[in-house]
Amino acid sequence: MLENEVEIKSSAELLKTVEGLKSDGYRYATMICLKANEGHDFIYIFEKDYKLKNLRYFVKPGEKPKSVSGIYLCALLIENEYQDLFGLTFEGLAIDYKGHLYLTPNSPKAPLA
Amino acid sequence: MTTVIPFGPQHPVLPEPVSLKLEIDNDVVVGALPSLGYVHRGLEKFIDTKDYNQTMYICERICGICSALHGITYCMSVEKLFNVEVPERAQYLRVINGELNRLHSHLLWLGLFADGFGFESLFYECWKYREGVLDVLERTTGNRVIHSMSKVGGAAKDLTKEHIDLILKMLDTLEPQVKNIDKVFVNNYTVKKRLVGLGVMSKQLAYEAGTAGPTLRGSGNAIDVRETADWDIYKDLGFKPAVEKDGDCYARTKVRINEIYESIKLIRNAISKLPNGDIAIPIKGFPTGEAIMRTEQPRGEVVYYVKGNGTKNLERLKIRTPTFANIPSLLLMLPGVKLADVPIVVLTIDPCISCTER
Amino acid sequence: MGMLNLVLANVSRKPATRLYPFEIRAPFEEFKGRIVFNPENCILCGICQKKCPPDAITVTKAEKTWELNVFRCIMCTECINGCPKDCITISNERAKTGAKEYIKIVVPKVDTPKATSSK
Repeated sequence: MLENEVEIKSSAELLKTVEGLKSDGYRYATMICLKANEGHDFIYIFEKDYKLKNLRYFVKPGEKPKSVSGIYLCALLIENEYQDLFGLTFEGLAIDYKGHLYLTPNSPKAPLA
Repeated sequence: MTTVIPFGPQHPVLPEPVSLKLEIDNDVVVGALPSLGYVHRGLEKFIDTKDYNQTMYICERICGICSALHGITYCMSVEKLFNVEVPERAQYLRVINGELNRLHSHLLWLGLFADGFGFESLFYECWKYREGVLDVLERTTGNRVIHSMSKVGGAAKDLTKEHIDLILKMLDTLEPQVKNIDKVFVNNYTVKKRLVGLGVMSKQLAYEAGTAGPTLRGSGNAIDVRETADWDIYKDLGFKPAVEKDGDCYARTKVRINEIYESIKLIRNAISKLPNGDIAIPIKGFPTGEAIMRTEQPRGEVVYYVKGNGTKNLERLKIRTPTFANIPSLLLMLPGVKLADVPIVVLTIDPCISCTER
Repeated sequence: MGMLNLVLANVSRKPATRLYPFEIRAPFEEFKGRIVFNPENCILCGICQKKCPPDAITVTKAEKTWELNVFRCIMCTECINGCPKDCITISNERAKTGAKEYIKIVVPKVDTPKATSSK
């Protein structure tokens, strides 16, 4: 368990919490994707005044998670990377590379999945 | 009617390949689309076959210019999983190695930047002074670029009295040399004509775009990870972040030159306070749990996430490098810039693409 | 006039570079050049093979050989720190171009008879 962590249950709650953090003055650091129990575990890391705040969200298999790049533009690179490496599909990306940010058509598919 | 011009993967100013498709309208850029993936090596998958001691050597080789702090941050994050504390002498040795690395990286960037706007003799001067730093690194650690100075549990090699005298002598020669090129970057008429007012990012925009490092500090945000409590040895050494207010390329150059002076002061303080004692503690067992560790590389803040599950291989290793966070800010800085100034704006975020793509 | 002073100072000094094949700088003492194996005390335990990160060392107990792939070695010195009999050392001479890829050395280990219990 990481310190200062909040568990998120649905994608609507996720978008509302992220908008609240942006108006509070938090800075987007990164997002981590792990394989867990057949689905994927997302950990969003935000930072303000040198203190971190983490949001944990579990994505069920087959679900299409919502992108936060409408709120924080810098999230689009990391979400495109996870589309390549884990085979996920995000909805609402500002710029969508459709799984070809790093990988070419004849590379192994979803190497970290 | 816009034309699309590729700022190609191969370009004389770029140290590593990145591709930007620029939309040009009458010699002014109106949009940019980055395209990565030319040096993707898939290094995060190596944890399946290498155990947690051997992964340190993989992490160091992600980037050649900022290699020391990658290794140090990895070791610190695994030590957080084991919940141990390294001896004080090892922490001071890691700081000295990290700050020497920052010196050589900023001198490399200053030379490359001068070459980017055509000032080739200044490029040769900066790289000539950098050779003194690399000779000291070779004499204290054994290699010029990939040092392997730290391991999980402490430091791998110790510094003898002759090494310390060498470092102090090199710093005494380096400081007046950097003052000479400082005058050229800050006061020269042609340099100022090319840099002032170019690629401006306001304070609020740089904070919201998620930038890190001198790109963030050149716009007035005084955020530097060396001030957090994660690595609290910097408080004893009297560290102050270097900040400028204007937000253009000139301000970011001044931030990096001031960081060179700050690093020289930090190394001198660390050497004068170096305590005696062991340099490493033995680590037994296997790591479990999760940990996040952040340090300040020459290009900004790097975030490491490790997760262990009780075996000798880690379960997940995730690295977010500073250039990964700075590339979206290029999409905000480039519109409005003339085509001939695009190489300078791309170089001012200090792109290290092999870190970005791992 | 900052740059002009630097240029005039450089003109009056001798060049900062060395004329390479005619003047060679002796390597520093701490420089990691190449791995040297001394097979006298080797007991074929295989610790060096387990610790090597790029898997450059192969130890075969049946044929009693120790083999190093010189092109894979990254000079991390894990094998040197791990050897219980101090058989591996590092020397500061750099291997010249055209070096062989594999170094294979036969280990003259004498099989000691197993201790029998005397009753």
